[in-house]
Amino acid sequence: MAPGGTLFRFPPHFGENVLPHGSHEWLPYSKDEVRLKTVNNNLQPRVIDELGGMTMDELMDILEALRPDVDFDREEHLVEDGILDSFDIVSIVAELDGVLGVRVGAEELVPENFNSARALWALVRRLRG
Amino acid sequence: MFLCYSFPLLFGLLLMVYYRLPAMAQRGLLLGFSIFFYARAGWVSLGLMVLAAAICYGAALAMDRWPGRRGILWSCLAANFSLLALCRFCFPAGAMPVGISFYLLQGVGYCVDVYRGTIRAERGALRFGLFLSFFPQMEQGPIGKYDTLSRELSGGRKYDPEQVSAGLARMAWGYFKKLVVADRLAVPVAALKDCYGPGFALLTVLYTLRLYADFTGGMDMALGAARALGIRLEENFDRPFLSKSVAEYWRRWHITLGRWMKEYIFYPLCVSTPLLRLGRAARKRLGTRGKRLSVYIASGITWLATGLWHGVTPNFLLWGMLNCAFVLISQELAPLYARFHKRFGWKGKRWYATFEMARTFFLMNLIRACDLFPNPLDYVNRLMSLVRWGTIPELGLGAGDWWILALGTALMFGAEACRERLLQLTPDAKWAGVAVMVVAVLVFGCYGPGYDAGSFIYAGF
Repeated sequence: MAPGGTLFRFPPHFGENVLPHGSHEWLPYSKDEVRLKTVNNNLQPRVIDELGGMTMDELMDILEALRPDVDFDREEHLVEDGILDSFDIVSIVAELDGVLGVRVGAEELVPENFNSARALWALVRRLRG
Repeated sequence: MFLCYSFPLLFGLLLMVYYRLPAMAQRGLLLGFSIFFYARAGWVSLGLMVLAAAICYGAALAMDRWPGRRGILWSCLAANFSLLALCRFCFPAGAMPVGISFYLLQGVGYCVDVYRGTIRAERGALRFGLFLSFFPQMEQGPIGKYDTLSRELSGGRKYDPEQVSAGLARMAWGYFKKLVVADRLAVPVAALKDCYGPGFALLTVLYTLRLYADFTGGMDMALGAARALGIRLEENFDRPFLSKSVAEYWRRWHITLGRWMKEYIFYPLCVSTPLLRLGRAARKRLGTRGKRLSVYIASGITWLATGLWHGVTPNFLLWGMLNCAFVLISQELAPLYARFHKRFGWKGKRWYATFEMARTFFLMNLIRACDLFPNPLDYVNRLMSLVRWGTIPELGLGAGDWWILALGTALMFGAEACRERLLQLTPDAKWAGVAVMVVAVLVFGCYGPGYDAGSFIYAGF
């Protein structure tokens, strides 16, 4: 993968930075950013948008620092499969509060909101309004 | 209730009438039976259950009418927990009003869910009464949640011979575990209570086996009875002796209590303003290590509450703190374990998994033994005595009893391990198994004069 993860400022030339598995397509997302979607892999697209100066990459950094053994790009049943336990969930909530300034209520601590990075990002967007 | 001589007759009568009735009448019949069983336990038990139901029902309707009114919720919580505290101090351990520790938690969980807006308040008083008083969960839970349990209790169950026979088979299995294994183990456990050294070590193992057979036997009776009525209650155990750590043990043992504590104490504490502020301040001063301070404090408070739920004597507080300490130590040592396993590659090997299960089994034996000694210093003395030599007294069971216990325990764990395969047996084989259970209970069961078969250990909490 190219340095900087899945974010690219300009679409690369065709054939460069090909992922090892499956085909991929480049989709324009905004005028100078692209979203990478891998068709055959189960990679979740990282939403490259700005939410009050915060991007999903910051959330991913938090998750990967807390649990470096978990592939947050692929997993979609983090709570149901027992990958994240209650300690992990409250640690994530504490980080969201301390680092991103997002306050999560007790009623939001349900498996649906923590089963995947995408679901967690949707929660953060909703709470940030 | 399950262990009264009249229960099989009453339950049989209930089953004969239940499936002939329409939905509303089914609910009414279940509520009538539930009130009848509470009344048989005593007017105090019935009165407290009705009072708790009225408090929770009224508070939920008020919160539905005036959403966001924290005062209503706090009043409801104060009233319920005051009732529980009053009962703990007014009644001796083991003689509490029936089910109060369980239905109060169930009612409080319902009220908090209404306050959070995750469910609407139940308008029907009788429907709510049935949710709180449903008789199979009267003595030992499971502690249900309103959204799932109310759907199950909505009535309109049609007769399904497979459900009824599965329910009755499960009840027979529960009676076997309770009357043949658990109540037989009560004799050596009582004999070993004053022992030190190897006698104490044996006590911890036998008490754990007794507690497991007693509690899971009661659960099998409760879930079996509900299933025979076409109602699915939640599982409370998931093969806890396969746990490889204390944290995993508490995800497999008394699952509904662990879930209640997590959702209504641990999570609200972790997201509370004071603890979040503490977390931010600790992060600034202590860096990475400070990040977990508020979570650990919330964990400590939750385990204290869990200990207090079991009993108000100091040993239960020690019990809660011991569990908390082992869980938190595992958390802190997790990176070290990960590096160790990366270096030596033992994780995933069968022998290492067996070692982890054995380690957790013996550790939990020692922690569970805390239940038996109200004075924590007495318990600590016993622990220290493990390195000393001592004698084991006469345990009060003959050779035949030990053979029955050995076979019963092997059957108990074997059945749990082979659960999936047993479910695939032919109906004839299953009924043969049930017949063996029933005969075993009648011939080898510990009931009648000289036995205290009428009570469950957890019903005393």
